[in-house]
Amino acid sequence: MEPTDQVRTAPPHAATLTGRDISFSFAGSPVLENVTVAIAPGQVTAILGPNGSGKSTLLHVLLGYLKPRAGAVLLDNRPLGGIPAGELAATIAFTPQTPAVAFAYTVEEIVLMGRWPLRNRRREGGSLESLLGAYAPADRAAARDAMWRTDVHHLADRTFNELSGGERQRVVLARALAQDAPIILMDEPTASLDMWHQLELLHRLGELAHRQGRAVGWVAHELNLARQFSDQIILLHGGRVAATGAPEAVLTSAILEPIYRVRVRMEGKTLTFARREENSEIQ
Amino acid sequence: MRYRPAAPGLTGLFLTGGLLTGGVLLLCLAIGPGMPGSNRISFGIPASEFIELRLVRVGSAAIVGAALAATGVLLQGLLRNPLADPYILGISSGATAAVMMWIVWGDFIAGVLLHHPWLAGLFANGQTLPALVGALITCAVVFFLGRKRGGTLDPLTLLLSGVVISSINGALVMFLDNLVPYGARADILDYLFGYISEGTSPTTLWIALGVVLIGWAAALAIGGAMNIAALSDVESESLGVRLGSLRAICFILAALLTAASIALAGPIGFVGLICPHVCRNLLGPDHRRLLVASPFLGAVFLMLADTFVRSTGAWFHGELPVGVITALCGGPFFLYLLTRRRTWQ
Repeated sequence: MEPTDQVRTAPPHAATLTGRDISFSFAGSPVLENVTVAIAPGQVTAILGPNGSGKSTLLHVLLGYLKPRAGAVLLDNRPLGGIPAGELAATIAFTPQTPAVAFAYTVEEIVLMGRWPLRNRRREGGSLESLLGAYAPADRAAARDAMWRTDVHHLADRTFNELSGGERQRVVLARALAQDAPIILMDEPTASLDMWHQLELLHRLGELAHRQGRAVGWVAHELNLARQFSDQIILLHGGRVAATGAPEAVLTSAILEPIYRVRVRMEGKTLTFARREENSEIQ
Repeated sequence: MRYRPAAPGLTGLFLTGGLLTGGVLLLCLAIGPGMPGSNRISFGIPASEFIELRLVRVGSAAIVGAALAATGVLLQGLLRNPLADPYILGISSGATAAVMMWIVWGDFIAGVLLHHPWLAGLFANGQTLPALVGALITCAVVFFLGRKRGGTLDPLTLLLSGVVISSINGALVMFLDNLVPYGARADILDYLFGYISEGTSPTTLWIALGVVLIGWAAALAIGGAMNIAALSDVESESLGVRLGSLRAICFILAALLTAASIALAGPIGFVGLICPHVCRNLLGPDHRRLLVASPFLGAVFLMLADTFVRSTGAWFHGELPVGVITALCGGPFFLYLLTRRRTWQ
């Protein structure tokens, strides 16, 4: 079945996710310090930074999964802690870096899980099936539609855990699309994708933000992809925001070189990287 | 590409399971020479009483089987571990240790309790009450040990706590055994291998049935959330499932169902491990389906196994503990499933 426009849901209401002066510690050692960020509707925001700079932790704090030691996460100026779990889940979709599931769920079952937060909204009928949390035909249609969009419809009956890393990543993106949330946060979605699927995914994120008005945040390592496909950059270093703003303003050699400890050159619109000589000495 | 047979809906599963269980129940009522010592039947026990006695026995088997099979689904989901069974959290070992204490110190305790007729009455039903107390205390200990600092249950910590508590209880049984001159283990050997109690009063049976039905209904209500909880912690929470509460509910239901089974029978192995696996093989990993199908299968399996044991007492030197049959049939079947298909990857 080809995706049809009637399945496509209306654009969701716009929502802004803000982190204000967030500090977070793991077992006493600080991971984030006074981080203030915004994931705004209509924009793709890339979260960048070297290994261990706190990117994933920031994402988990913004999701409400980790509670900050200080500061607050606000959804349209409402503190995250005061929002019911179901409403929050219908507002923010999340995809992990390495998706896996216990037991042999099929791809379709995994994508349908994206409809879980929405199914509470419209309790239909009093049948045994709906009482026990079965998904409605509309949910199945939305899931099928999402699978077409991320090119995994042919995998629908396959076991999720038997798929390659890139295929799994596309399946969880389909789940996020099926969730139809105004905010989408993704942890290194492009890490295991081939070039064609990387560009497809990032193009899709751009559509979600620019055409549908959603707020998209993604953690990235590929600086050139981030530059090409993002409207805003948040650059983290040692748990602090080192720079934030438009890609052209943030992704410059002056800012990147001390943080990434490599030589950075601009060639046209492309950043190129080279090892710095002093790196070879063990510090 | 792997295809699954078209999975039936939940209503269909309920109907199929109910009809099958009902049919097997009637079959098991009809089969067998009767209870041990049933010779008495021919000496003038009225047919109605005979039916009642057998109904209690077969009904116990059905209730215990259903409770164990439902608990297996709950715990395998809770621990994200296909090897979990109702006893992995130390519940059976707690019951056994308590029964052992009762055997060793029971006379002393009863002596004290004799001055409190109401309490003594409670303990009059042999091993049931000590077993229940031991199981529930063990559950509580494992529950509190299995929590992370945040207060939510952590599958791995829970599993490790259960295994360690089991070992401690096992050592306790040996220790108690050495406190009495000729040992007391012989007295609980049958108990350890699992048997279905014969002295169950109809009242106990009705209470256990009520507990199991309530526990089962509650389990069915969390089946959908348990599917989401099979994802990683962050993903489940981001989809609106509060893992802390879900895991606590799961654990409490598992403890409740296991306690009901312990009130009617000793620790019977393999039912709780195998039934979820068979259902997962046939129906896929969806917990809503498993929670419907697995208890029916458990009831059928244990009724049949118990009927076999009941009917073949004359072949052996007395009735076999039903746990022997469930393990002897269930073990090889489990290994067959293991080699045939890896259902949990």
